[in-house]
Amino acid sequence: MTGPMNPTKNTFSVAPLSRVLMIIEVVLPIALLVLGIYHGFLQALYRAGVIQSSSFMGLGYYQGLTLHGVVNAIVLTTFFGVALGNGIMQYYLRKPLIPWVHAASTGLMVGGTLIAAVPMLVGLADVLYTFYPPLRAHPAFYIGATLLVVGSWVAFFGWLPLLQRWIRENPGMPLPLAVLGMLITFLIWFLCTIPLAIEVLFMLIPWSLGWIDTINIPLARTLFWFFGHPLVYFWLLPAYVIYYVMLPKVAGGKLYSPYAARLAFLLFLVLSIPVGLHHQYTEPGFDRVWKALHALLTFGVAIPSFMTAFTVSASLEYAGVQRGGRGLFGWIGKLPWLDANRPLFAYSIAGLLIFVFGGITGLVNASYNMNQTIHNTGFISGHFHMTVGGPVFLIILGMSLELFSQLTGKPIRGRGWNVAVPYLWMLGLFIFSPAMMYGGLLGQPRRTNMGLSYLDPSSPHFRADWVPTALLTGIGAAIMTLAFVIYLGVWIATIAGAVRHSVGELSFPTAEYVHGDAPTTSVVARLRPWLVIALLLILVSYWVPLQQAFRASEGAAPYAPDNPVPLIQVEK
Amino acid sequence: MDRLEKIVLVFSAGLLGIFFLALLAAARLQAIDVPPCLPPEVKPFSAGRVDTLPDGTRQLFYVARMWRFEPEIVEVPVGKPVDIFLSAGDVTHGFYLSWTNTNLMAIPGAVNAYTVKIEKPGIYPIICHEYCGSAHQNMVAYILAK
Repeated sequence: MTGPMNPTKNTFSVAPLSRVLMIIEVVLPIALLVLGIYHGFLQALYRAGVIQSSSFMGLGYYQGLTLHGVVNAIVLTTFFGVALGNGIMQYYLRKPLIPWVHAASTGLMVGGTLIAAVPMLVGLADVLYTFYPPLRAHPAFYIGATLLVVGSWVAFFGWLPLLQRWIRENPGMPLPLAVLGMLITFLIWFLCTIPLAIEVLFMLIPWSLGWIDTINIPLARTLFWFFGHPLVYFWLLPAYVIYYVMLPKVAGGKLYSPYAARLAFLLFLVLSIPVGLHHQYTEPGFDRVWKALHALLTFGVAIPSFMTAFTVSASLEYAGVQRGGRGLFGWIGKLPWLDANRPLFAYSIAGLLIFVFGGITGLVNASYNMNQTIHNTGFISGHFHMTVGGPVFLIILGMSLELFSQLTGKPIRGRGWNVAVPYLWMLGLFIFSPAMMYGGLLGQPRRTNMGLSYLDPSSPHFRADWVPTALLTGIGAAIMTLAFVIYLGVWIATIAGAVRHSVGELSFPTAEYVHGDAPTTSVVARLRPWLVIALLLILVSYWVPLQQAFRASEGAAPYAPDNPVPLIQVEK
Repeated sequence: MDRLEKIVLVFSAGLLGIFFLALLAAARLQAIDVPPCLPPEVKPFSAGRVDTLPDGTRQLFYVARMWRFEPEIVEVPVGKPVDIFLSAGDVTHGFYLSWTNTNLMAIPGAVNAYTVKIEKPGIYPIICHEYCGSAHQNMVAYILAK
C-alpha cells in the first residue's frame, strides 16, 4: 500500500495516531529541556564561583549535572532521532508507519523517561549520564534508561518492513539519501547499544537490586565506551542527513554530489564504533598498541566529516552563485542568513560554523598522547559543547519546531526572533567553549563544583589563575541561556497560534543533485559489504581489550555518592 | 566520484596520516606516551607510601579514596624521574598532576602508572578530575618539588 500522497504539493499525510505520537516525540523532550538548560546555566555559575553552595533552590550540583547530561544528551537526542526517522521514513518511502509498532515505541520511550526521571528528581541517581560504577543509582534509573533505548529499537525495527516493501516496489533504485542516512544512524545505534545492554542488564541492574554484590569496573567502563563514542554519531548523523538532503534546497541550490554523501554515511557505519578506547587512554589495563589502534581509527572517522565539510560548502557555494553571488567569496553574502521564512538555514549554518571548531578540538582529544594534557579537564566540555551543543543541538531545535508546525498545521510565530536564536546561541558558545577549553589547559577539572573549593577565595585550594576563564564561561552560558529563552518564547507563541495550514502534512525540502547519483552497481549503493567490514573492525579492535578488561583483580562493591562506606561489605 | 571530492578525500587522509605519525614520533622519541599496561601480577594496594629505589629513584604509591589522596603531601627532587603508581580504594577517581602530562584514572581493580620529571621547583596540586561523589571538589593533594 502506498500512503496518501498529494502529488501537486509533494506532501505526505501522517495518519492521525502517528501524528499524535510524533507530536509527543517532539514536544516532550523540548519541555524537559527547560530543566536541562536551567541546570546548564546554573552549573556555569557554580563553576564561576558565583554560587558557592552544594545546591541551589533544592537542586544539588551533581543532581543537576546528571539531569543536564541525561536530558540534553540522551533523552532529547534519542527522541529527536526517532521523530526525525519516523518523519523521513514516511515521507521518502511514501508509507505510513505500522500503528501498533509506533505506539509501542513511543510508549516505551515516554514510560522509560518518566521512570528514570523520578530517581533523578528525588536525588537517588546522582551518578551523571555516564553512570560509572561503583557509584550506584536507584534501579529505576537504569531500568528507565533501558526502556528508552528499547523504545528506540522498536521504532527502528518498525521501519524495516516499510523499507523492504519499498525495495521490492522500486527494483534497481538506490535508497533515497535521507533514508540511507537514517538507516545507517540507527544501524550504528543498534550495534553500539548491544554492549550497553550487556553492561546494564547483566551487571548494573542486578547489582543495583542487590542480587550480585560486586561487579568488574574495567569491564563495565569498556562496555560503556564501546557504546559511548558511537553514541555521538547517533547524535550527529541526523544533523548530517539534514545538511545533505535539506540544507542545499533551503539555501536555494542543489547538493554537490550524492555519491560523496553516500560514501560518508557508509564510512561512519564502518568507523564510528571501533574507537571507544580513545576515552580510556589514561586508564590502566590495556596495552598501548590497542589505544594507538583506536586513535588511528578515530582519525579515520574524521575523514567522512572532512568530506562533508567540502560537499556541504560546495553545495552552499552553488546556491550562492545561483542567487547571484559573483567572485571567489561573493556567494557567501548571497545566502539566506537572516531569511525569516527559512529558519532551517540559520540553524544549519550556525551549527556548521560551530562544528568546524568542534571537529578540530575533537581531533586533539583523539590524539593519543596529546590527550594526556586535556583528559577530563574543561577542554573536553568546551569541545563537546561545539559538537552536541552546536550542530546537533541547533538542528534539533530548528527541526523540532518545523516538525511541530507541519504536524499541527500551526505556522511558526515570532519568525524574526526564531532566526536570531541560532546566531545568539553561537555567540554565547564562542565565548563559553574557548573559555572552558583555556581553563582546561590551565588544569580546571570538568564535572566539578568549583565554587566550593577552587573558585572560593576562602578555600585553601583557591586558584586565582582560574578566575578569568571561569567567569567568561559564565558569561557565555548566560548568552546561550538567553537564546534558549527566546526559543521557548517562539514555541509558546506557535502553540498559542491558530491552525492555518493543513494538519499533519509532512513536506521536507529535498535537494536535487549537481552531479548525478551513483549507479546502482556502485559499491556505495550497497550496504552489506560495509556492514561486514564494520563488524570485522569491531572484532579486531575490541577482542583483546575486552579480555584485558576482564582480568580485573577484584570486583567492586556499590557506593552511594554521599558516603565513603560501601553499601555492601564484601569479604576480601 | 567527482574529481574535487577525490582530492579532498586524499588530502584529508594524508593530513591525518601526518598528524598520526607526529604523535607516534612524540611517543617514541620524546617518551610522551599514555599509561602502560602493568603485568597482571601487580595487584591493587590499599595504603599509600613513598619508596626510594637503590638508585635514588622516588616511587610514589597513591591510593585515591572518597575524598582524599594518600599520601597527601610528598616531596620530590627536581629534574629526576619519579614513578607514580595509583590505586582506587573505593570508587573511580581522577589524578591530574598540574602543569604536567601526568593525567590518570584511578580504577577499582587495576593499578595505573606513569613516570614524571618535574623541571621547576614549586607546589604542584594533584586534582581529582573524575566525579567521585558529593565532596569530589575537595579532593586535592600536593607534590612539593625541591
